[in-house]
Amino acid sequence: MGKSLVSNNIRLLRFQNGEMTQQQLADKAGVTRQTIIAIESAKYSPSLELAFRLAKAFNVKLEDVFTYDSEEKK
Amino acid sequence: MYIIQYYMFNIYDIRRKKMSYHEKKSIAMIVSSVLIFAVYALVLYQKYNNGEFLNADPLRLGAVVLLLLIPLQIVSKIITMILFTIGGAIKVQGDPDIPIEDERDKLVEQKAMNIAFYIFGIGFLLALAALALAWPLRVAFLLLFGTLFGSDIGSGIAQFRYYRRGF
Repeated sequence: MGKSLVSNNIRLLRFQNGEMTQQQLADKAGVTRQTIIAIESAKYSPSLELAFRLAKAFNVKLEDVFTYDSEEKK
Repeated sequence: MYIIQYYMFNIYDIRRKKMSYHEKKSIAMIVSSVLIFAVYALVLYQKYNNGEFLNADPLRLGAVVLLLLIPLQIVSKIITMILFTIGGAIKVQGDPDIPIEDERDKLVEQKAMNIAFYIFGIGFLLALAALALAWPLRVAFLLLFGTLFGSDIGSGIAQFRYYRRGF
């Protein structure tokens, strides 16, 4: 139940997109606010489809939202 | 200025963090399960004390007790869900935390169900072991009854934990 290896910039992207609320992002991506909270705090790694939907909500590329921190980097 | 604004934005998000609909639902389910099991066990105990089971075939009695428990559990869950939804709708009017089910909810439900199956599976094996060791029949049925209760509570706790701490 530790933190996942996938980190994200959702909080920063929300801030840069006119201080978008978690609920607004959740509505755009079609998930609950709790799921956005879980993804933001790296407690849940979304499916590929949801990851693309989140990137689309910010109008950025997938790699601008999510990054994979491989074990070798640690 | 930008840093301060971003810091304030983060503080606002943290302050908004409260118990979610699904976390509350998990707690409601656990409470309802405990109540149903307690009431059911109490009724059975009273019947036992009144000597109503004296002439009953233990195998048939155990089967009836377990079979009755399953629809009771289902009905109690449905009633709890209805009451919880009505209560929630009245209490949180205007709250944007809409209880829709997304991919994470399905995953949490699946993981919680797995835990319930594991617990009941262990109980079933222990009950078989009790029968193999020629222990009294009531031990096997008590194990099945206990693990049926345990699986229900275990899945509720797991669901709450997954929602609270992530996975």
